[in-house]
Amino acid sequence: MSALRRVASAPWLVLALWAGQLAIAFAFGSVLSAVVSATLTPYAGQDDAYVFGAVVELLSLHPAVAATLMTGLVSSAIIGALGWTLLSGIVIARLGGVARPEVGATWLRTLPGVVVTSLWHLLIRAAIFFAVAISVSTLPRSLALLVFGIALAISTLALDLARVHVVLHAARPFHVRTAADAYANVVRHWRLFARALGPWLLQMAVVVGSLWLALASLGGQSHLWTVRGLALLGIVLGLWRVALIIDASRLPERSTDDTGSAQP
Amino acid sequence: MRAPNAAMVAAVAALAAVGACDAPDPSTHATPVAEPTEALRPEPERGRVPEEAHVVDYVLDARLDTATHSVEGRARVTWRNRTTHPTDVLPMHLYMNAFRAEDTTWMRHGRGTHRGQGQDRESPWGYIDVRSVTRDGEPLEWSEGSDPTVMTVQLPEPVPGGGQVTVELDFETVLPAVFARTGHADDFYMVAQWFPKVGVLENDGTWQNHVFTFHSEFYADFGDYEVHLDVPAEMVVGATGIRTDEQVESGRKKITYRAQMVHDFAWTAWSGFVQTWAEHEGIRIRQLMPRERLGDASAHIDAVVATLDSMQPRFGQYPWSTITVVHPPPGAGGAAGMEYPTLFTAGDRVAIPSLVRRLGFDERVSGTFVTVHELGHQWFQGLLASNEHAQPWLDEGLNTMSNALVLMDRHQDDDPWLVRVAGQPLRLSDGMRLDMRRSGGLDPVDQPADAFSPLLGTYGGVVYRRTAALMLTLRNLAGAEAFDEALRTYAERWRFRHPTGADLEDVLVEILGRRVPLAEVHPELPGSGPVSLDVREFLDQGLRTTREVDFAVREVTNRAATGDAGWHRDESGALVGGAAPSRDPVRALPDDRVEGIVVVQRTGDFLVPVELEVEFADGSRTRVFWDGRARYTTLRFAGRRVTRVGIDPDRTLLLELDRSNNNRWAPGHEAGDPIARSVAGFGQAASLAVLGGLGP
Repeated sequence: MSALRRVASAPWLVLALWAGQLAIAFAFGSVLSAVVSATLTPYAGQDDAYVFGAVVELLSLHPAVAATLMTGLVSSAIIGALGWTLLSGIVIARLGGVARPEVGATWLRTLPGVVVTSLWHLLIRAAIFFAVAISVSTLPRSLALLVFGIALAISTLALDLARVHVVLHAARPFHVRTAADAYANVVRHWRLFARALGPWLLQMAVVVGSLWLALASLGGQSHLWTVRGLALLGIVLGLWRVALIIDASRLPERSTDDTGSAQP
Repeated sequence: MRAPNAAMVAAVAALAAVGACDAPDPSTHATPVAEPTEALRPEPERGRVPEEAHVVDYVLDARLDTATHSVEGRARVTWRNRTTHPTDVLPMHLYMNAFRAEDTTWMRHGRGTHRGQGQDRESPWGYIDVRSVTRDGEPLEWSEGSDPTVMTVQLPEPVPGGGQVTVELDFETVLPAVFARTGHADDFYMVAQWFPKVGVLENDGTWQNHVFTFHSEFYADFGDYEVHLDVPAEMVVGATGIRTDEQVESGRKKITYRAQMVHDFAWTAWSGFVQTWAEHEGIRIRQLMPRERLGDASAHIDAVVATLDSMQPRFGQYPWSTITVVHPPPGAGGAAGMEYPTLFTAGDRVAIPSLVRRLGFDERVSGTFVTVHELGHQWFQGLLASNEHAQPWLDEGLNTMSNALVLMDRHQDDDPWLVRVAGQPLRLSDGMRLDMRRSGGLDPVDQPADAFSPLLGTYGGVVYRRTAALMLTLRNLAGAEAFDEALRTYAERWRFRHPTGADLEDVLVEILGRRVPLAEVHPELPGSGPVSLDVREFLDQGLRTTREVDFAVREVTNRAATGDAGWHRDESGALVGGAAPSRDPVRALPDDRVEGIVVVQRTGDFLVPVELEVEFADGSRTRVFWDGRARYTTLRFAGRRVTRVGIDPDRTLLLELDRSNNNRWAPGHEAGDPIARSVAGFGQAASLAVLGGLGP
C-alpha cells in the first residue's frame, strides 16, 4: 500500500490530530480575546480600514496584550514539539503497519526510547546548526538561507527516521548512535529520503501560507476557517512524510549501494 | 513514486522564487545629462532672486590629501552689511572643530555617537585649523570662542550699513572617519562643514553665530561660491552647484564649481562612484552611487521627480539648475541622510525580494523616503533659510509635513500607507502617532535645538513628528485649500530670506483668519453653539506647550424620556392626572420615548474642537462638533436611541496620541470589536501555523 494510501486509511488518526490542534489554537484564541476585551473595555475599535494600525497601537500601549500573544505562540510551539514527540510512536506504529490492537502497547513500550532519541537529536541538531551558522556567515544571504534550509530538511528527516527505527526496527532506544545513524542514513541514501522532502516542503509552504493568511486577514472569520483547513492539509502532508520515511527505513536494509536503488 | 518528486520540485521552485530580488538594471539612467551652464534656472522658471538676499560670497581653494585625510584650504570671503548697524567684528563658524576633542560642546552632548554611528577608534578626530586671517594682505586679529566651533575676526574699522569687507583665511581641515555627516571612509570623502563660515548679522544688529551643538544644524546667509577643488585624478566628484571647469594633470584633477544664492557648499569624492542621470523640467539630476546600489537608481530618481512635482506647486519653484544625490558607500553610513544646497546624501533602500513585495510586505520609510526628505530640505531650509539652531522645527518639522504631502500627492491618498504587512497597511497618521508617543509630553516644539536633551531622545518625535502632526491637523481642520494657500504664501514671501516661527504663524493667521469656523448650531442639539478654531491658540498650544490631545467617550446610554405621568395643574389650577410612571425597561420603549445620552471627555490638556459621530438604532448617523474647551460635554438626543459614538471619525486630529478610547457602543448594542476579533483570530491562526510547523 502506498504511503499516501496508508495515511488515507487512518482517517481517525488524522482527525484526532486536527481536533487537538484546533482545540489548542481555540483555547489560546479565547484567552487572547478575553485579554484584549478586558484591556479595551468599555471601548471598541472603529474603522476596519485602520485595524492594523489599531492593533499595533494596542500592542504598543498595552504590553500585557503583546506578552499574552507571545506567551500563546511560544506555548503553542512547546505544546506542538512536546505533543508530537509523545504521540509520534502512535503515528509511526499506525502508519508502519502494526496491528491496531498492538498500537497502544507499542507506543507505551517505545515512548521512553522515542523521548531519549529526540533529546539526543536535539543536541545533534543544535551542534549542526551552530556549525552551519558559523560556516555560512560569509556567504550571500540567499545561499546561506539555502544551506540552512538543507540543514533543516536533513535534521527533520533524520528525526523522523530515528523515531521510526526506535518504534519499528527495535533500534537501541537510549544510545546516541540511533540519532546519529539517522543523520548518516539520510545523507547516504539521500535519493530514498528525498521522496519525503516533497511533502515536507509543501508542509512548510502550508505553514508559511497560514501565517500569511493570519496576517493578511488579521483574524477574519472566513480566513480563519481557511487556516483551519490548511492545518488539516498540513497534518496529512506530515503523516505522508512519516509514511514515506517508514518506507525508506525499510529499503536500505535490502540495499547495498548508495543510490537508494533497492537490490532484491 | 513520482508525485513527491514533482511536489518537491514545485516547492523548491517556489522557495527559490521567494529569494529572488528585483534584478538591478544598471543601464537605466546611464546616459549622461550635460552639465548646466548656469547655476540658477532661468528667471521665468525660478522666480526672482532678491538682491538684498545676496550677502556673502566665497572663493574657496581646497586640496584634498588622501594620505592625511585633510584639506588644505584658502577662503576669500566678501561679506556685505545689509543692515543699518555698523559692525567691527566678523564672527565665523568652525563647525569641524566639533570633532576636535572630547570636551567640545557637540562631543559632550553626543559622547562620540550620532544616529547610531560611533566615532572611529583609529581616525576619531576632525578639526579646522585656521592659520591666518588677512585683509588686503594685512593680518587681522582673531580668536576662537569658548567653544572651538566659533571664532571672531576683529576688523580694524567698522563695516557700515551698506558697506562690505573682504577677508582671506588660510586653513587646514582634518576630516574624521565619518560618523556625523562629514568625514572619510577609506577613500570616500564627504566634505561638509569644512571651511570658515560667516555668521548672520540680524536686522537688529546682533550676530547669530551659534556654538555647534549635537542637535543644532546650520544657519547662514545666501551668496555665491566659486570653489576650486584639487583631488586625485581617479576621484569622481560631486558638489554643490555646477562644474565650470575640469583639468587633469600630474595625477590630480582640478575642478571648479560655481554655485549661486546658496548658503553652504559641500562636496564628495570617491573613486568608486558610478553615475546615473536624469533631467526634469530643465533640472539636471545626477546620482553618485556605489555599483552595488545601481539597482535602486530608478527608484531614487522617481522619488526626486515626484518630490519636485509636489513641492514646486506647493512651495515655489526649485531655483537651481542641478540636484546631486550622493549615496555613501558601505561603511560610510554616518554620511547618509543629510542635506546641503543642491546636493544631499541619500539612504539605502531595504532590499525586499519582489515576490515578498507581491505578497504584500512593503515599506515606504527607508531609502526613497530619505530622498524625499532631503530634497524637501532644499525648500526648508535651503530656500526658507530659517535659523536651524534657534527654531529647528521650521526646517525639520515643516519639511516632515511637506514629505507627508509629497506622499499624499504621489500616491493620491490622503493617508497613504508607510508599511504593509501581508497587505495590511500601517498608515501615515498611525506612524506619526506611534512615533510621537515615544517622546510626547516632555519638550515643546518651539525651543532651540540645544534645549533638547540627547539623553531623552525627544528631538525627533517633537521637532519632526509633532510639528508635522500639528500642521497637518491644522490643515485638516482649516481645510486643505486654505492651508495650502497659506503655506504657499509663506514660501513665496520668505523665499531666500530668514523666516522665524512668528513669521509663519502670522501668515497662517492672515490667510486662515484668526478663527476658522467649523460648525453651526446642530439642529438636534438646541443648546449647542457654533464652533470655531482659534488659530493662534491652537499654534500656541502646539508649539510652546507640551499639552497633548486626547478625548474619550465617557458614557453612551439611553434612558426613558421624561413623560407626562404624575400630577399637573390644568388651566383652572386644579391638579389633574396622576398616572403611574412607566415601568417598561428602556429597551422595550419605542425610540420616540427614549433619550440618547452621550458624554465625551477631554482627557488631554490641549484645547481643540473635535468632531463626534453618533449612530442611532434606526441606522442613521449625525456629526456633532464640540469645541473641546470644557472637561466634558453631554449630548442629549431626545426621541433617539443611540447605539454607538465615535470621536474624530475622519481622523482629523493627527495630534491625538491615543485613539483606543475613541469608540464605544451603547449597552445592549455591542456589535463586536474588530480589534479584539482581529487579535484573537490572528492568535488562533498563528497558533495553528506554529503547531503545524512543529507537528507531524
